[in-house]
Amino acid sequence: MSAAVETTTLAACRGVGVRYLSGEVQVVALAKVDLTIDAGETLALRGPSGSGKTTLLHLLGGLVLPSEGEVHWKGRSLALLDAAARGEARAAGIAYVFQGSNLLPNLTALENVAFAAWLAAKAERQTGLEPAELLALVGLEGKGDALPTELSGGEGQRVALARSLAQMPELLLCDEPTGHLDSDTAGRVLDLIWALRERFDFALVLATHDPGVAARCERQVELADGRVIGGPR
Amino acid sequence: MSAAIQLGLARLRRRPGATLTQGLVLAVAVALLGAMMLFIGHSLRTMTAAATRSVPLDLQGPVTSYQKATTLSARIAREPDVAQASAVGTAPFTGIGHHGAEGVTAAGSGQVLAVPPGYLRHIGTFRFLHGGLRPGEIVLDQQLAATLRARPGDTVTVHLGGGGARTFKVGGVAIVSSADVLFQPLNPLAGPAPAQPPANVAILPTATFARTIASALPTLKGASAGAAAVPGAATGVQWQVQVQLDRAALEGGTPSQALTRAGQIRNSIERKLTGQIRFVDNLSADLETAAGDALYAEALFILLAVPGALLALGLAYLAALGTVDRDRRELALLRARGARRRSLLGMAAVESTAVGVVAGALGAGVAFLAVATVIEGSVGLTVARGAVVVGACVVLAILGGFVARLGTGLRALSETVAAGRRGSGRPAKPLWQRLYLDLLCLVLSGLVYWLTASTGFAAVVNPDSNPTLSLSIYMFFAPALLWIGATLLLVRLRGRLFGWTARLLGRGAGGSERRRFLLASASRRGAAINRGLIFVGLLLAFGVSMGVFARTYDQQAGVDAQLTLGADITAQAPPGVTAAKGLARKIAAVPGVTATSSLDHSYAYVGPDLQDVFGIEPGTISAATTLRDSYFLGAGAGELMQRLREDPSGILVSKETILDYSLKEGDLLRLRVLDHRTGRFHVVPFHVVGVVQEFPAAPRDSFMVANLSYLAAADRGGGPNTVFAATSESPSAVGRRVIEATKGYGVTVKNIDQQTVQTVSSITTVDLTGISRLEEAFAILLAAAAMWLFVSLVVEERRHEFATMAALGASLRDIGAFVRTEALAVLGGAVILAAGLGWLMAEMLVAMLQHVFDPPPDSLAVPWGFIALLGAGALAGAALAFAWAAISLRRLPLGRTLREQ
Amino acid sequence: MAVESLYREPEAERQVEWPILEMHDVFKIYRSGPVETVALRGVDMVVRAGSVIAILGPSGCGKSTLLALAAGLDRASAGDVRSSGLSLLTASEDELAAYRARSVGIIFQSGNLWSTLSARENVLAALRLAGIEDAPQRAAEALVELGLGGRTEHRAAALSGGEQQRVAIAAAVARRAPLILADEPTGELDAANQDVVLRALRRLPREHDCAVVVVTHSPAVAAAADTVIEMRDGAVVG
Repeated sequence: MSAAVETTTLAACRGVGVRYLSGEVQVVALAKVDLTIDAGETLALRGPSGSGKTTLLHLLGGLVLPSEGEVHWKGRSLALLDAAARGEARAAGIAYVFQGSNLLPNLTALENVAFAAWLAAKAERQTGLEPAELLALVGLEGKGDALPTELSGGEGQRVALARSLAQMPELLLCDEPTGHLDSDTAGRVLDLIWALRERFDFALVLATHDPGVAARCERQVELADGRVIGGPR
Repeated sequence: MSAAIQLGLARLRRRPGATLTQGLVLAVAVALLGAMMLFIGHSLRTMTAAATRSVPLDLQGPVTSYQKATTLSARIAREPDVAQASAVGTAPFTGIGHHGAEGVTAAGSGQVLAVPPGYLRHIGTFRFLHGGLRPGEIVLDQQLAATLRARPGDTVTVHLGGGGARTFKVGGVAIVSSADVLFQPLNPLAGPAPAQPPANVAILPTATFARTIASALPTLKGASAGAAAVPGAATGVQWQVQVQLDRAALEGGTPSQALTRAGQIRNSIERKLTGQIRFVDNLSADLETAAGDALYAEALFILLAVPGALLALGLAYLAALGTVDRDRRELALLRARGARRRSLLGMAAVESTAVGVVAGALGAGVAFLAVATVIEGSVGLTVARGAVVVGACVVLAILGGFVARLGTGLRALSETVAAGRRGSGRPAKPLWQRLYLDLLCLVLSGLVYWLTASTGFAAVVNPDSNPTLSLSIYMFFAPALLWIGATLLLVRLRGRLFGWTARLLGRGAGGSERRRFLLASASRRGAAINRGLIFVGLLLAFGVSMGVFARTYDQQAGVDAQLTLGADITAQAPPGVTAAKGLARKIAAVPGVTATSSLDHSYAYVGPDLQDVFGIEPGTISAATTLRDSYFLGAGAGELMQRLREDPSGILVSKETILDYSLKEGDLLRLRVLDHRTGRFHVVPFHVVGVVQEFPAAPRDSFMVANLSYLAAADRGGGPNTVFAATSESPSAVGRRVIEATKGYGVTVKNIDQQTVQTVSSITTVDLTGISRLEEAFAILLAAAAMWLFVSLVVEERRHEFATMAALGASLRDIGAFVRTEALAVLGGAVILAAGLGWLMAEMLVAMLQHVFDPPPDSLAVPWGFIALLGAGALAGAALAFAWAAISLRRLPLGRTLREQ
Repeated sequence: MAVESLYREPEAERQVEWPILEMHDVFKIYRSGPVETVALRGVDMVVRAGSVIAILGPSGCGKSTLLALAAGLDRASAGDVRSSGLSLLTASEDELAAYRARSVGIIFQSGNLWSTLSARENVLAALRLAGIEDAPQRAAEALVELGLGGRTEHRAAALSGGEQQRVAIAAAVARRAPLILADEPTGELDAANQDVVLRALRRLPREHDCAVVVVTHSPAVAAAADTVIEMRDGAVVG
């Protein structure tokens, strides 16, 4: 990696809080969180379930609006955008990898990747690679016609990764990407993520409760009960 | 409270949207059934009331003397449920004359009716125009008074057979409307045999009659079995007891109930007076017909309404499907923690009871409202009846909800717990597809239809004393199997059809990228689309078939009314008046009348059979009324009228006559025609020129049609006695004008609007208007609801998927397109199903209920307006759902939705 | 003079100690259309009260299937599964339901809760199904023990994955069934909460004489058990 790379701030959270109502009880998912993400860096969000890691990722991706505070993406406040514009922002640079791979169940693996590529193309942002090539990149060349129910956990995650690459993301948000995988496969998938990062040079924010996984990242932030409690900023 | 039940109730409370949807759909389904129940009850009661009220004279018991008549009538009058019993007598006279200022005017033979005072209290066989019945004075029938030019105060002389004559002062003028019943031959074994009414009728008080006339004539001891219903056949005094039953005892129930009650009352009287009197029962004859019609009405309603209600309940099933996967996992979890299958059933029962009670009450309310809107006047709703309907609605709602819940949760009960937790995998080809059940159903349907068609649908009216109408139950299988088979076939072909359409669309217009994804995704949503297809398609098909049937029915009701009455307006005049006064011309001059034609309705003997003969003007009759080709056999209406014109002695006869006498076209047919001047029959030659099955104003048995001029010359009855008139405006309005124009000539004017309303003994009493309006409204509502439900289901089922798409950056429009594609696939398939199946079903229904359509329709009547509304309803439902889906998709909490499994 | 019996009485009835769980030569084959998958091959296993057993193996080795059979959620294709002498293979559906209610508590990897109920109501429902009398008391205690004291009224859908796991474990703990089966109970938890869960699970056999079987792919969790059984490709290997 070139040492003279300019560090630009991709995303930033200032004093954000997220509250919602569950039945009659108010749940505070996040409270007064400050965080910045620079281009190309790797950041691990550590903490147990319920600590707010997923909510924070949702915030960064514009899937959730903060109850207080601000979230910026490339200098623009996400809260000021309506849902459609936020969607466009996602198509143009923020990719998400979910814990359960979350493939579209009614499209094949290849169609899943192609769908994301099409969305990205509408936002005028795409890799130079065809969907089939993206699948080959993650080692699933022959599985293009498989429906998500026919793929194993690990294979599904790899398709999700290929899908996220289809839009040439600048920021990849991963929520416990290896949570449901056995340790062997988990290691392989993580290696793949880092290899892809080498190739495409995106920023990576990884939410995990596994310290081993967190250790791979340059920076770690610890969350508990919706607050940042540790880790270098 | 068991854990399972607690979970069930918590689910109801905390998922208000799903609970509300389920409840509303159940309420609508139940409302339809409730409205149908109310409507049928009301219709049957109306039929009973109409039937009983149209009978002017219930029972007639012949007796052999005046003394017996008075004694028995007094005795019977005291019986319960008897409104009136009167001693009545009839006797023939050979002539009647009036010595007036202008000289002597005479009329021919006729009958005298003798009634006691107070006769008209409950019996309506005649009514007074002027004056009344006073001791020693005679009342003349209106036509007779016109003929004699006599007025109250004048004197008339009645000539009796055997040379006697009696003179009376005229006390009044009356219209005798039931002469055919009053003077029929009374044979209790043979039953009612309404006869051709005597040409002239006069009325006397019984006491006067007994004193003056009855003593001079022989008394009839009882009509012989073969007494001909022809004037001049009765030769003596017929004493009878006329009984009218209390209407309150008969009404308030179905025609069969009234029939049974009437029979009970009559039997009770006859039993108490064994050997002294037996009755000719006009009432039961009428109620039998009404009971038969009621059976058909019930069958009709069932055929028309039950499918709709079933489909509505099916929608409840659809609504329950919204949460089937989640429900399945939660039920599996219950079982994993130790709940027994019985507890799950109990949970379903409690849930469906809770929802069912509210939905049932709501549905009952809607039913009451709907029926009150459709039916004018009171529905006859008593507390008891209302309670029954509410109870039925609640029970149905509970059952419907329970079955819906069971249907969706059935797998959860039967499979292993482990399989339930795993959730659905790739479904194997369903059993019915492997067994080709769809084709089997279609073949069976055709078979059943062909079988029942060849036996004439076995609609048998048992002609003996206890009339039963046995509809072949099996004939209902044909349409049911057709429904099932056609729908399953469409489901089977859907995949192929869809793929074919997809390829077609993909090739055209360069095949946009988005379309590729939409089609690919929809092609894997087969199960969901099939569900929508089945429900929406069947609903639309039901709507179409019902609409076509109802419209055809109305169309035929109009045709039937015209056949019964004869034309838009008919005018009946005393013999000779039509020709003498130029009635035809006078009527033609009335504004609103477009054409007239004269007829002579007479009688003639073919061998030993007495048949009606109609003398017509073949040149003008086609304009004054409708002659359809289906009325004739072997040739069209136009051609046969032409043949009559060419051959003055030409005659059209019925097929039975042709067969009975082995006749061919051109054969000589000698008829014995009644010469009105001499009162005797004489032979007149005719030539057969064609076969006629139906004719305006003709009866159901065999009859003949001949040239008016030839017939008039033969029977010397004074020419035509009826005028047909066609109108361009409302028949009732024109009818009033015709009455004005012919005032004073003793003309009876009837119009077709009256006929359609008044016809009692014909199937057209079954007024479909009310229920078909209800059904149309429900069909449109249900079509909209079905599309709305389907779209909501899609959004609910694919929530997680749509949230993922949004997370990937798809716009609301893109996501909405996925929903719209599925909805359009369903709508397209449903329209195909509706068009094909709806038409087939209507054809089948019409063929099956042939008895209802008399004559059978030339073509089905298509209610394009309603069908358009139906389609619009479905589209509106879909459009509303799209709008709602857009809102809910926009408000989808992405974070939380994505967290869900 | 007392007459002595010449009849040789049998010894006091020996109490038969049924193992809490036994598996003899168990096979499980899944059929999906034309495809057959052998999930378990000839598995033999005995679990006695008072112990914590860990079943270790990679994903797809059949450990979850084994658990399902032990919990009476599915029937073996061949071989016998017995719990305290009751053969699960030949038991009727009602007997299996009673078994699931009283004799076993199972914690799945996911989908442990009824989404419309709160955490407390979930535990209460589980206890009621087991026919336990003082359910509210026990429920409260178990929830506190698992560190969920402040979240009991939250609807299950609002809890994080780890919290949902802990609620399920609380329910199993409160049930005190003779056999507790747990499928990856600590998968979603961090180190601290993992300790809490393992401690609770280890406490049960000691205090209530039950058996705990934990299925895991984490060697660290396996280390906390008394016995480790290794599985690979549907068979026990160690």
